[in-house]
Amino acid sequence: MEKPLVSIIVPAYNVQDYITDCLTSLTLQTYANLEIIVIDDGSTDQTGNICDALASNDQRIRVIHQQNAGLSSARNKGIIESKGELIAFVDGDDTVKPEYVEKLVENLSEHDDISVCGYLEKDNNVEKIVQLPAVERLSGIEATKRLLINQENYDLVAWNKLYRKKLFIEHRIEYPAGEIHEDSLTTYKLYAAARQVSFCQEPLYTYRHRSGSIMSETAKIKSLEFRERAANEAIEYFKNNTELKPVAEIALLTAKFAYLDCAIRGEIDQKHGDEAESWIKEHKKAYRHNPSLTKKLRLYLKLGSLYRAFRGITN
Amino acid sequence: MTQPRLSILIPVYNAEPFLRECLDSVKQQTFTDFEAICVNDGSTDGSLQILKEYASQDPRLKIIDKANSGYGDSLNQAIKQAKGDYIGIVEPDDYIEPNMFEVLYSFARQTRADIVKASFYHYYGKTGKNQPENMFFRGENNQLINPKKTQSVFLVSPTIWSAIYRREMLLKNQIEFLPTPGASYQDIGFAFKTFACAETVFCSNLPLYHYRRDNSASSVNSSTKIMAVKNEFDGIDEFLEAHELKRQYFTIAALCRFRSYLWNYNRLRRRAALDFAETAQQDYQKLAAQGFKLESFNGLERAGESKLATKSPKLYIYLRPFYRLKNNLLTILAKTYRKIIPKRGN
Repeated sequence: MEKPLVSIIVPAYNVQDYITDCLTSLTLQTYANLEIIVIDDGSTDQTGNICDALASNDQRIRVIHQQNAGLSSARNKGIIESKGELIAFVDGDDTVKPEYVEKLVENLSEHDDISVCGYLEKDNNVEKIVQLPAVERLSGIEATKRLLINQENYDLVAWNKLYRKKLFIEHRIEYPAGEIHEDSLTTYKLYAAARQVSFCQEPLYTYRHRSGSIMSETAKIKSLEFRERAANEAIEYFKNNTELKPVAEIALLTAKFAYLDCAIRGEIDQKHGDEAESWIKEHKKAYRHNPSLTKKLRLYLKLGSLYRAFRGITN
Repeated sequence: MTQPRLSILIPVYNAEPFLRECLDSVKQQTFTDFEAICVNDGSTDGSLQILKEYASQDPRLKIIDKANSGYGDSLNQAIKQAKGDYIGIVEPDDYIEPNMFEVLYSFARQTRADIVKASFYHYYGKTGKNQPENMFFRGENNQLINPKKTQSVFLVSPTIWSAIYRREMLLKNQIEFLPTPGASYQDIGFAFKTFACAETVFCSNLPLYHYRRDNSASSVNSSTKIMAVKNEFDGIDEFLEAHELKRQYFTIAALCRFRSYLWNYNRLRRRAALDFAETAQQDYQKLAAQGFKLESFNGLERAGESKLATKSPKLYIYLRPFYRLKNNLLTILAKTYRKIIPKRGN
């Protein structure tokens, strides 16, 4: 079986405590035909020096030092610099198993354009397995639907995936500069561009949880706003796509319900909840004809103002 | 309280001139989960005071204070006290990169190797110059190797620092330093025995340790103690016999022995070298009787010279100047070639 060149793009910003483990885990990859492009995004700590030192002993590692421009910009730079026909992203504070690249490549058959794996979430020293649903392969469209409707992290994130580089190039897909949650704004486009997406249950990537587990109210609101925005962007992106536009509209609906649920739970203020509730009421009729409306959502829409009571009971 | 993951062993004998520099580099390690066991081997200078000063400020530093008994015994005692999963050795004349143990442990954790061995700088304190040593060949660098299969690793210089060793492996195989008094090449035995007992060794050319070369007090500059080298190799042969490893490692042990003798012939004054040649000759005859063949040198660096030095050491010593000239010329040629055609990286 041929072994195409895989480019691993590692954006790194002030990760001096973690970058050593990250880069050693890449040096230990069992897949040989590899290049590792580290983008030091203007780190002000020892990250840059550590990367240079480790790169000096592994000719597959190349370090690019740039002025700070953000995670998206670092990833995009990595895509431009990459020579491989396959691309993967590894964040500078995460680590991967030695078989990460090998298994992702093995799982990428001729008609697959993206290969996805499970991962471990590490919070302090506690590791939790995040498993993918037990489906081996989906068409690009089915995968996009799953991503937009379920909004699961394993679909949204950029880094547990191996992509054919041409998806980025032919469809002009980039990570949006200056954004957090840049994955939510981008991965759905890649799924939609793919012919097929394959899935491997094995947790090959270890994601280090960055912030504290309990979100402040402001942070929660920002996160909900972001989810709403991502859905609106998807609607715009798929405006001429008869199959996916309705799915994006469902994503917007679930985003609105998310505001409402948080308000009911007291995690955010009632005003946001009320606004979402009236939006849902306003658009209820239009959604009845949406072919992607799930049974559960249909029920929630039917409940109308009783939804709050329903949530109160089920919470 | 949980046990540290790493025990750093520091054998201290009259190390006052550079001890602070060494201890500072240990204290500042980015890998913090360690205990540092400093063995004061009956120093007659201010070493102990310095150790106490550091220990009072950093609870990770522990001191074993004892009467002088030598480098080997000091380290053996430190190993007995060690509680870490892995042990590493730092010599008090030297200093280490701030991330040395972080890197070594990172590879150890992911590969579960019995030993992680990295490279070093030749450090010249007077000029501040650091010359990196290219320890491993391409086939070994960044590889997890099995010493039984990749025996070329035994031929790297037997430095025992810039490495970490799984403590359980040392205990299970009863690997100890020879308790020879003073500092007498005890690293030769330790390096060989640890590699012989390791199932896997991860090798890295990263220079993480600064080995001070211009320390006049260092034992390597002493022209005595040549017999200590022989004792180490005899100790290795006994060890292999006792652990039923003779079959796998007999030849490589002999090669290491005679290569070390060769190095010593070039280091010693002619008289001392000729004296030792008697013993060396007997060693060769004994090993040849056990099946050692000179052909084993084939394919190694300076094979012809090694064969001559092994079979007829006295003759070799007389011919020493010619070999020196030849090797110097070859080195100059190689350097010139490299200047014209630079290396493309490793």
